Amino acid sequence: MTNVVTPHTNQVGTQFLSLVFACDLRESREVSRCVRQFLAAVPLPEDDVHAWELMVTEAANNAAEYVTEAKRQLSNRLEVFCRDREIEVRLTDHTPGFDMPVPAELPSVDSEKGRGLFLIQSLADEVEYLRGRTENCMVIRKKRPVPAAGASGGTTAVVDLQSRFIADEQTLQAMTEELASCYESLSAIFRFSSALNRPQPTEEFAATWMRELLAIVEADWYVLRLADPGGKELRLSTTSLPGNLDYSLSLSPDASSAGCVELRAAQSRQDVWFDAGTPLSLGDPLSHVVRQSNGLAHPIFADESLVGVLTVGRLTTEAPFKAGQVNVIQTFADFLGIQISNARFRAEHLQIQLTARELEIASNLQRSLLPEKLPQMPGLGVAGYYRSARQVGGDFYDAIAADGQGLLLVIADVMGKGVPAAMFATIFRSHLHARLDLVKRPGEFLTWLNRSLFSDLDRMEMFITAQLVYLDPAARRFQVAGAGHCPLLMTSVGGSPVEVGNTGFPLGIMPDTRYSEEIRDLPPDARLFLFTDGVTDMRNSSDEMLGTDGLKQNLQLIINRRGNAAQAVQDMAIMLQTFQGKEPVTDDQAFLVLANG
Amino acid sequence: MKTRTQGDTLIISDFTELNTTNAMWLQDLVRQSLVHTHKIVELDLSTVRFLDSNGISALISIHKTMCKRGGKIRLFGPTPAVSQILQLLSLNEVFEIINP
Repeated sequence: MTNVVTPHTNQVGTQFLSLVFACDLRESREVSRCVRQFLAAVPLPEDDVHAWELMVTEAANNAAEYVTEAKRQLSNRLEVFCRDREIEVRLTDHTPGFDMPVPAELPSVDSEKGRGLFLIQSLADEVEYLRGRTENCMVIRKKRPVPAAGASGGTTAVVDLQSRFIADEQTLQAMTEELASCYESLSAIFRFSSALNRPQPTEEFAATWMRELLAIVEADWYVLRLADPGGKELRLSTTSLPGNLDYSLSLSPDASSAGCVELRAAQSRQDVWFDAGTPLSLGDPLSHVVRQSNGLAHPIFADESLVGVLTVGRLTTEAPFKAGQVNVIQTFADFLGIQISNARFRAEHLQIQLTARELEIASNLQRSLLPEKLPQMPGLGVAGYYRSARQVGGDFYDAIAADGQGLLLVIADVMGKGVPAAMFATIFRSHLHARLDLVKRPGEFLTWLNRSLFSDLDRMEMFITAQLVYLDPAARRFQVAGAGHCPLLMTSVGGSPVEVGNTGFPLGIMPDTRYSEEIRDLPPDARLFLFTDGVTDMRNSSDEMLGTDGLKQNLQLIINRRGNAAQAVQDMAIMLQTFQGKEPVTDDQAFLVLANG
Repeated sequence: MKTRTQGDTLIISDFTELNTTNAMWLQDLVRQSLVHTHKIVELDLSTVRFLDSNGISALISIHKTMCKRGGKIRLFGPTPAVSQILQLLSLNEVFEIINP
């Protein structure tokens, strides 16, 4: 062994042993014997001493067995920290490293290899393998058995050891720094963890913690890029570097990542290192800002999705990060990934809640537009039906009694759905009720409505289809005018439904459209059925559309039952829902029925 | 390590460890000492206080060699430390173990 630091005890009572040894299988056994001797003197029960002897042998064997020829001349380092409640061993190796399976699987009975890691994991309480660029570190921890009552306590043992071992100032200093470093890292991670629950702006949060990270791992610079929500590119979030780094990196599979460590890390989903041996390429934009540097680009994932890439470096090609420091960088980045992912989720959730609330308000508003009670005339009844495709839609119907004699039936459909459609339905209704003097002339009423609403509709690139029917019960006659709306259906018992109503442009298309009227007699047993295209356009589970013919057939069956308006509406609603089955409603549905009753 | 033959059994004894440093040597010793009358290789583990995974590899290699010859390996009197490792690796049922 090239160097054995005399075992000693520091101020906080931790007994410490450090060994530096050649990367050779023969040395492994010597090292584990040395550890046995040290631990037996602590003292530790024989079972524990034996377990540590075996674990150290296996770890040291692996370090010697898997090292490459190029690194074989480098020494391995073993440190033993014997604390009050546990013992920790760290073995630093120079192998290419491996991804430690947790738990390691026991190989088949016939296999002559692969039991070392299994033994270590079985005998230890905790095993970590920290991978670094130039070295890796296996950390093994095992609790110390509780001393039996009356047995000599740890303090006595420490005092004994203090008297037996001569303190080595240099190692004591190294150990104090080690402990201080651990303390710094741990306290920063604890603060980091507690800060995770605080709502903070993501960039400010990230910048604060990246500054902490630089101090802890003795790094000089960092660049944090985050993937946009669509995962199409990496955008700069925050950096400690001056210079123009505020550009985006395309994550498209077609984009070449060869020149850029950040993209390579994102696409390979692995850490990408750079140092004197593999410097940043001239094609890498980072190389213009940090020419002589070493460090790593670490991809950050949350639930398998790329959140971003954290690149951390030192402004020298010497002094690479140690395995423990790499572990701290990776841990910070992964914590940050969870935080960013959670913050995005919270923002999306909030947006969904806001949208739902807006829709709820608009829905209430829109429903309030529909008449609570429709006017009834002697011998005639009116009933309506409305079903929205979303929480709020743009269909609208109304029936307005005029001068105690006539009745205006209105049905309209604002193009589109959601809040904008509901808002225009509201405006349409306000305009409708503003000119009740026009009810007896539906064509003129539509002409006026079009002129009044045109500028607003045109600006929003929306339009409204509508149909107005003025009924004179005494004369048994009605006048109908349409603006791009489907014709109404007039039915009589025994006959087929007839389409009535000329159609002009929808409201909001041409500013000066004039709408004409059609005057029809209303036979004694006739019924009028006004509807929106959501009724005829609905589809069943076989993707068949109801269509005008389908509607007519069903309507005839319903009318032949000779029910009043309310019963006809109820029958029609059941028919529509039966046709549709479990298919979702894709468009608003509204209809009005005028019937004897 | 010492070897002796008793009937159809090749007995190997007098070693305190079976690890990286002597595992290959043990395998060579068995290979060189085996004759066609040997049906069993018995390792006297009563003095062995340390067995690592490379030692285990040697035991499995000998076990496989003997199986091919229609024979077997037998472990005699393993110490508690060795028994614990065999049990941990579920090998206590693979090898014939004699506890005197």
